Amino acid sequence: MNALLSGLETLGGLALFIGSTLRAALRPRLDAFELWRILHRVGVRSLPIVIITAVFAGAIAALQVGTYVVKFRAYEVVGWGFGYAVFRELGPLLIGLMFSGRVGANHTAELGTMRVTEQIDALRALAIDPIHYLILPRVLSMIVMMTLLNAVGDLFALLGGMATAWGLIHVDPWVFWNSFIEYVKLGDFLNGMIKANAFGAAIGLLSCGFGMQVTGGAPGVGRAVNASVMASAVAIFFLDWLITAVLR
Amino acid sequence: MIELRGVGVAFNARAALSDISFRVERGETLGIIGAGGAGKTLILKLICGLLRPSQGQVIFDGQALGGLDERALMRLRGRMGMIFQNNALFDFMSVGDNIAFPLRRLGEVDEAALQAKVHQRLEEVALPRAYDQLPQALSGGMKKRVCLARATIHDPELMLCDDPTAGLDPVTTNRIFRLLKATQARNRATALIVSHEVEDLQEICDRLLMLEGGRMIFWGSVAEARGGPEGVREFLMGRR
Repeated sequence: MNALLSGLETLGGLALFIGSTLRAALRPRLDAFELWRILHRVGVRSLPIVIITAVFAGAIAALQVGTYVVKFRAYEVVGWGFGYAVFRELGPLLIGLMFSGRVGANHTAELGTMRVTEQIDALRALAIDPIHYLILPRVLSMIVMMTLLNAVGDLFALLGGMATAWGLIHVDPWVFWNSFIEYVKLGDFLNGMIKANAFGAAIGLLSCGFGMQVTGGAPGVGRAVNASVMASAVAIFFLDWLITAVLR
Repeated sequence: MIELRGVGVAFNARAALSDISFRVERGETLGIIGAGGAGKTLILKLICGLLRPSQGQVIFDGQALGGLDERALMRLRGRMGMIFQNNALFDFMSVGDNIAFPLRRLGEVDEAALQAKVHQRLEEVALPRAYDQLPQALSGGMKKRVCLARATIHDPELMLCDDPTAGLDPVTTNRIFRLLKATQARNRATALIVSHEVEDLQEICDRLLMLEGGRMIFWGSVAEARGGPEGVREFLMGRR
């Protein structure tokens, strides 16, 4: 019973937090320096892990598609199979999960620590609204950077896929490229971008929401990080399903 | 300047403060004493609007805080400065940026004037070379002084000090209290100081308020406290 009440309390707190954030977003008062600092941290520092994830996602997709391409000698669809899987699904999904583990967990831990050390109260005591100063830059950065890095990830996934197809299943890069250009549509790319956008918003809101609700010192921060990563993963899969169903 | 009328605070139906009423005029210094967990910090948080009372009213300069929205509260907080028990310095900013922060956010745009003011305040708290250091690199006493500088850089009318000398040696404690008094005297600010350093408090405060279990058991001048109820006298002598 206590667990149920605690769960409902967390959900209620998250709902109120998301409401306040969306209301603040209508009339944002952003601190340019803080926004730039967070954009740099979320975007530039995530680039290596996004590139690694994307290269391997592309390589794995090319291998999976390639097995059947070789079997049926259907070389003309290798680029399409790869592009369809990676651009629409694997790319945003894997980068989203990586983002939630790297950036989302970081936001939760940072905000949670600020809360237990009274830094959030100190902001309010200095007449500064933490939603405008701390939360909006983080959520905005997550949306912008998740979308941009998804585009970068698509490019590196393509390179990883082409290299793997060429090196392991001996598909000529030109054949791969021609098939990709011929069959993969702008809509496939945009579908992935919409998902990345939604995932960024969900991770941003949830990671900050859990961080701002921390109670109970260092163990509380640990619990919040755990809950934030789990909730973000569930939100990512749910949104993926929803967007796929709506845009099919 | 500040008035509490029948204020109570409860968490999960458990009273943390009950029926607190007092008034502090402009320029006065009030010392708040009592054992740990008596509700001293809660009083400061109520006055700063970080916490809303479950009952009663907190009035700042004739305005009841209870009826104000967060935006209006923000405006009032711009006239206050608060020192937190565990400093609450922003650990992602240098000392200089921490101190400059309230002025930047309150719209001080002349960067040269702002820098000059921050350096001057650092001189006053005897940390002239700390501008570029991160808070993590400072000792407890230095952090307290940075906290004092940040809380008072905008010359607040009301200073709320939550155990500003917690964990400090007697020399640093004395220095912090002298700094507090000097800062307060500069613009005739009102100060509410929570502290366990009862001897120092008796020297710098006009009045004392003592709490026990969330209830106010004494309110009056320092002289009255010295000759007051036994519990208060014993507390002032460190016997309780």
